[in-house]
Amino acid sequence: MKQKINHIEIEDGSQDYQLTSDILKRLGDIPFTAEEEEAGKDQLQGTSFDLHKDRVRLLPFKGEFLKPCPGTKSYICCGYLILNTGTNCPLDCSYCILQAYFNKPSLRIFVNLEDELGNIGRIIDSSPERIFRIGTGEFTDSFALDRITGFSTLLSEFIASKKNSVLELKTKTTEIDRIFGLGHRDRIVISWSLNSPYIVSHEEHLAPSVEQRLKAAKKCQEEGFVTGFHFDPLIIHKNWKGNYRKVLDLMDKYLDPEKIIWISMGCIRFVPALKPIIRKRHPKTTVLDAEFIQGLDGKMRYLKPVRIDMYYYIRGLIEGWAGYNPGIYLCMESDEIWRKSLKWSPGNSPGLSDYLDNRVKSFW
Amino acid sequence: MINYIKSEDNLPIVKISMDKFKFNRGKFCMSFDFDIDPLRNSIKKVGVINKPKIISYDGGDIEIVAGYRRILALKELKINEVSCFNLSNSGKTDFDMLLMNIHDNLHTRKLNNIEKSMVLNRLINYSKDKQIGKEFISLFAINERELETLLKIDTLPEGLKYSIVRNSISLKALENIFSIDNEKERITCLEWINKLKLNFNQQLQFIEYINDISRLNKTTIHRVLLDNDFKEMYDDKKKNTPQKARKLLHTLREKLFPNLTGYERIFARRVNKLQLPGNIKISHPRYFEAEGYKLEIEFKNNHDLKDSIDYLGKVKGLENIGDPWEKDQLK
Repeated sequence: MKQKINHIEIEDGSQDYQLTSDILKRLGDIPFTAEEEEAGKDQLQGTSFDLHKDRVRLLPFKGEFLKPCPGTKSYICCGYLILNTGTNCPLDCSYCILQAYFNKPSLRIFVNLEDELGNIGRIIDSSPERIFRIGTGEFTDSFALDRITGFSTLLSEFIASKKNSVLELKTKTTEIDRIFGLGHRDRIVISWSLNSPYIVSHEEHLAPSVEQRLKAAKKCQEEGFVTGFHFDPLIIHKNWKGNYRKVLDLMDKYLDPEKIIWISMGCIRFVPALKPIIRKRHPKTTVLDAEFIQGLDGKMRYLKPVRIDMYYYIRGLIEGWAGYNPGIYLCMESDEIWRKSLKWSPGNSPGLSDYLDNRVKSFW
Repeated sequence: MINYIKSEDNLPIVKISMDKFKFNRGKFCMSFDFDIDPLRNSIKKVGVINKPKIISYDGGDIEIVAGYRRILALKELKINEVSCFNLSNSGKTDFDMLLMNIHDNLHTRKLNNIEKSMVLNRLINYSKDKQIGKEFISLFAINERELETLLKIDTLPEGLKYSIVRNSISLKALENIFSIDNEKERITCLEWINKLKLNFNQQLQFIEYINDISRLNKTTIHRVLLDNDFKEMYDDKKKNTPQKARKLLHTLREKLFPNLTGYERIFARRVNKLQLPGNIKISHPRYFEAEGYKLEIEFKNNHDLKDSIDYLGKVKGLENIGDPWEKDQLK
């Protein structure tokens, strides 16, 4: 990862947490300032597009740490739970929804996470019959700041005692070495977002190449970890079929499909407010060069036949490589798209949850 | 406040001959496109209640600090001499006098967007850190995004400024126009909005469509609009301006969404082929995104309903109604 941290902001109330001093130690000589707690008002309103990706802000998070992924009724959602460890990401992908999703800049790390694990544990323990699929890669990259937060090991150790839960650490980076020191591998999924090499090099700024990611995934598999992959966002571009095929060729080179718990697919979608931000922050991007329509959830998407075509094609590549269906699912798509592209459908969100829960059961 | 009263008490009053005024806005005045009649009528009835404020320069030039409209109204009333407070030796800086003018206006009338732009740009010129105080953002009841837009309005040609004042171009549309990097391109957009009198919704659509099309085709907005489709549309004498506006957006939409509009055409053609009576309609979901299609039957009574259903059962070609891309779909 090429992004450098140049400044640390320590928000009022963070000083009381051990993680704050740990992070300061790990970051060494980087200058820091004490900051007051921010008001609720948007800081990124107006036309400022500087997200301060070179700044880390340490703060105690006052909201709920564990929340369901914000799905909508109109599309089938996987029922994933987001464990909110921080917001924003040091990578700078042109299509990233976080550019429009959060109204406050800086790489924000929630230093009270460890103290909150007790509460999270009580939520998990209160429903022993349910499988909690928990992930940290929704509002930030799970590993991009791991060398300073150590969250991957903290959370993996926490999950070890929670037999009805599985932790998915989702990343585009190769910063995974810390996790190899863990004493257990159970119910930990290390997953990568994948895209065509063309999209990676043109749109996923500061992120490692697909090959580097897959080499890291291979190492994880060799170290006994279960892996997952997310072809999300799929993006139409010149020779997209050939370019996505290259990813499968690399998967074939490096991965054992038996050690993959799931592979998701999702075509690019974005809230309309993201478009001007992308235009301003990434003037050379081509991700907006397509026909976008407003979906049933208000987000901009490709036309239905385009999405069906992409999913159908990539599903074919994946199944052709693995020789079976290694847990392919669609992220936020309709029953119709499922049926027409994957040739089956879980029918609804609980159906997809059951499908993924069964994948978990088949591994552990 | 006390200082203000004291200073006004001490200001000398001078009589200025009307021909000394140049009637440009100068450094302090910010009136743009206003109706002078009410003020002129008021002065005709009760005279000038508050004396204008001026400064005089060496050589005899006069600059109006506050009261530009009052002096203009007096001129229309053929008054030859105006009593003014002279601030020349008051010790006030240009910035003090600008603030005087702003407050003189702010609390007596609503500023239009061009005037706000003039005020904000002048404030920025005087502000040491190039930041406008939050005070003025709240005084104008604008947010930071609107502030950025207002600041840029002052750079537009005079003719377009009149369109903005007369409320024929929205602030939101301007905000989007200013996101276009090239000045010439921005002016082209504004000219088309102006000449086709696009309404606020149409303005936003137009800017988004034309901007996207030019990016997709790696060409300029100007070149896109040089296309014969648009020239013919604009020159079409059989169409009035609202019809031309709709045609413009329709054509742009077809260029930006060739597949979607193609599917819409195929679907419409298939439905038209059925030659359904007026009380039976078949429609597709918006953008074909939701699953399925809609059949609507309007009927007067149970017999009418039954007749319509019986009729539908006999219609040939119903089997062709479905996804318009079907022939292109994967086998």
